[in-house]
Amino acid sequence: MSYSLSINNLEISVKNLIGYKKIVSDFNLTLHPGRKLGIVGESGSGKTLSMLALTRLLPSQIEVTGGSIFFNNKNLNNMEKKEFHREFSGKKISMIFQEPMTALNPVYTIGKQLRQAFLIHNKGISKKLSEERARSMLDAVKLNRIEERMRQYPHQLSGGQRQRVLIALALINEPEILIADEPTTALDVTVQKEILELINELCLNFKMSLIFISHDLGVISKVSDEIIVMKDGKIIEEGLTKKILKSPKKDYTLGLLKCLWKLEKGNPSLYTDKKVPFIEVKNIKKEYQLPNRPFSKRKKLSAVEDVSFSVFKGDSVAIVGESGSGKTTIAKIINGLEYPDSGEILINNSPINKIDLFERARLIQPIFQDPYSTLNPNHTIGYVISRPLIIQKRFSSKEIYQNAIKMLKLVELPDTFFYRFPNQLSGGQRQRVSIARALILEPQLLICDEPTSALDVTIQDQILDLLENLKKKLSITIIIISHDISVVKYLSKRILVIKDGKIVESGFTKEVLENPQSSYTKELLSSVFRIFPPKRNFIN
Amino acid sequence: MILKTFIKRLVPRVLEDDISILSPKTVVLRKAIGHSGFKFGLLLFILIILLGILGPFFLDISPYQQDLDKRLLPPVWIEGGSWDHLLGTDGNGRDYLSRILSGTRISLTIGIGAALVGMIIGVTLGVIAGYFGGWIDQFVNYILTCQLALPGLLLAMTLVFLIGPSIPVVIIVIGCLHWTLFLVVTRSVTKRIVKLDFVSASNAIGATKLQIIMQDILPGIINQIIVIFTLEVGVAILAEASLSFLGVGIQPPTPSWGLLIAEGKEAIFFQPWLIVLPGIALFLLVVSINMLGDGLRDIMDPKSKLE
Repeated sequence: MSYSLSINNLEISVKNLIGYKKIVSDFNLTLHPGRKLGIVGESGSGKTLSMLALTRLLPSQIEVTGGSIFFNNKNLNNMEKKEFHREFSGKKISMIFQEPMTALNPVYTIGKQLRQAFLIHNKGISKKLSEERARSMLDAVKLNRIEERMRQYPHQLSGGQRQRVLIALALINEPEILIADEPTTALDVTVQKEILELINELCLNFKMSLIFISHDLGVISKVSDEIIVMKDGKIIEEGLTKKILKSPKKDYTLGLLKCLWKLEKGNPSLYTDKKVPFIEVKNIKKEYQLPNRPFSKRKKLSAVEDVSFSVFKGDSVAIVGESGSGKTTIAKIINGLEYPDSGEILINNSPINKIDLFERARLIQPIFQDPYSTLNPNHTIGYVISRPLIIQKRFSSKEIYQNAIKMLKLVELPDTFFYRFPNQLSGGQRQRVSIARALILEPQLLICDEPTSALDVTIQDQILDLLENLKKKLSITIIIISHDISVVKYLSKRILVIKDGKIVESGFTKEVLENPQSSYTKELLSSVFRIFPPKRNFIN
Repeated sequence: MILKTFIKRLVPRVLEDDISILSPKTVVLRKAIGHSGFKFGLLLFILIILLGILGPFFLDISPYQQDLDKRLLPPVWIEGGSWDHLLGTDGNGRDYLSRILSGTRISLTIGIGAALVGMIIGVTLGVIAGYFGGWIDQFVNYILTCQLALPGLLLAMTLVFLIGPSIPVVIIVIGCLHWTLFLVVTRSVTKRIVKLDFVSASNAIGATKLQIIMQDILPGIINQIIVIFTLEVGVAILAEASLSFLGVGIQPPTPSWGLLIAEGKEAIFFQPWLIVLPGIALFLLVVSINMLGDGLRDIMDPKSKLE
């Protein structure tokens, strides 16, 4: 069956009191059967909105204000919304969303949801037939134990399994175009790899064309033949994937690629060990009690099982693992924010729970993952940064002010931010503020818990550079926690790989990455989509 | 018209609908100006407060002065009314306007006082339960369940009857029975805030528990507290009126709206204004406070759209 989809000069605007404000303009796209197209861009670049416009799912205040969408010479923009959903949604164009946790209805079984999706476009089909169909779809997305899955509810499945169910839902009516909106962003790297492989395979089997949206060039390069790069609502570059990865024409694309190349290369200028054990972690264990259910035994979840390692002065250690592997718990225990059930932590040979609060604050400071919850929305930036000094009560207010301004300069933010509130800042700026807050007490150890995972690629790059510079300038020790091996490679000298609360591998970053010993590390490494810099370095 | 231009100058208008440029205070102020229910409620409330505070100074008739010659005079717009007593007189010949105006003070004092008492109890327990969790949380929950199981008005009647009725007693008793809403909301919001990273950050810079509660948690729940406070003021005023109506609240001859209604109930078919007038006053005050509270909730809600 042949068809064609073309979007011409699409323009999307948000309606406000004054009138319309354009957020996407001049969006052009043509899609031929069997092609796979990737759209890459930072958050807010309009990549999701333009796809929502195609599927008629735009939120109420946002409207298509210009351009046309043709599917087989039929202008979709002129269609009634109801008619569109009857004729096209799910049947010709289908969409997979980012959050597998919320995209399924929690009160229906998987089987029922699949059958319903099938019945919408095939009215009056018998229950037996629709169930048969649902089973075959679950088989197609390679879920195991299908009979059991049919009767299960969404909360009983893992994130990866739910994403498979969503894909099955999207494909049950055999659409001709599949739109995948960051389908793997919420998943762990190893699961991400499986899902991407599945999508690739299904596209072949079902003879679908694919539009894949992501902020991650690495992921996109694995699934697409062509790439569209978007920024601020405009397409800034498009072309074949291979060409764009090799020789991007626009600076912005080059910037995106450079970030990835830099991470790939690793960082040669890392500190050497001075062999002074600064922190020793000895056999720590931590268990969490799961919520009590009446008439059943208390269940325990062990987050950390018998972990010990030591960090030297000026060292930079990375802790790598998937979500749920206990890496954040370890960070919190070292920081004294959680207490281990057994085992101890020595800082400069004295146990951490013997050090008083103020002293500990001057030794260790944390940087958190989520830039939106790391700052108190009720405090000005100036107060956030100077508060550690205010609480420690050792300085006059003038000294505090000068110090805070100095810190703002150190993290490359303008003085004027002193009186701003966190909601007036972008994610990257907030993360800078939280770094400033951590550094104002001049700590010796910085624990960064996924400091960049919530940020866009280019911002991520800036923050990593900043951390690297600060590390050189202030010669502080850094423990960095991440699920992303490439980030770790750039910033750390040694690496600990953690799985299910146990250290499965440790050693120098270079050695671990080049010659991984445990099968888990190998799996982690193979699921990171790398883009290697071209041999001939034409940039510099 | 003049007011509108004045307001426009007061608040910087940003052409693009970009809230991120504005500070949180400006956003709240702009939402407040765009919210008509809030403005109406606030205006009416301020008007009632002014009447309550200043009104009696302009009337030279005392609310207690009896004049048995002029018993049960109707208001001025009904036949037989006189301009000396705008809203007529009650069964003892006391000026009704003066009594209703003085009653405003009683209602406001008791409403705000009782809501304050309830707020102090509820917020303290709620923050403690939410912050510490564990058995403390369970204990507070137990107290809450007990409180919710008690019939409020009946208990208030018994307590006031046992201790003896006076304004402070009524305030404290009503306050002690209206803290559950404060507790439930502060507890859940505190639980949410405690999990956020900035609380961990405060822990890491060596802040004490008290500092964290006062500087990190309370500023985050103050919006919700204000909203519930206004709603509870309305509830407390009605509770006082009910108590007074039943004879265990404010004692005569002090003019309280509930008491006025109680005193007028025998004459309901013959002199209905004795009940209708304080009823209207009560209605207006509670409506204004509820509209104020509703408006505040919309304004303070960070998710609500800027209009």
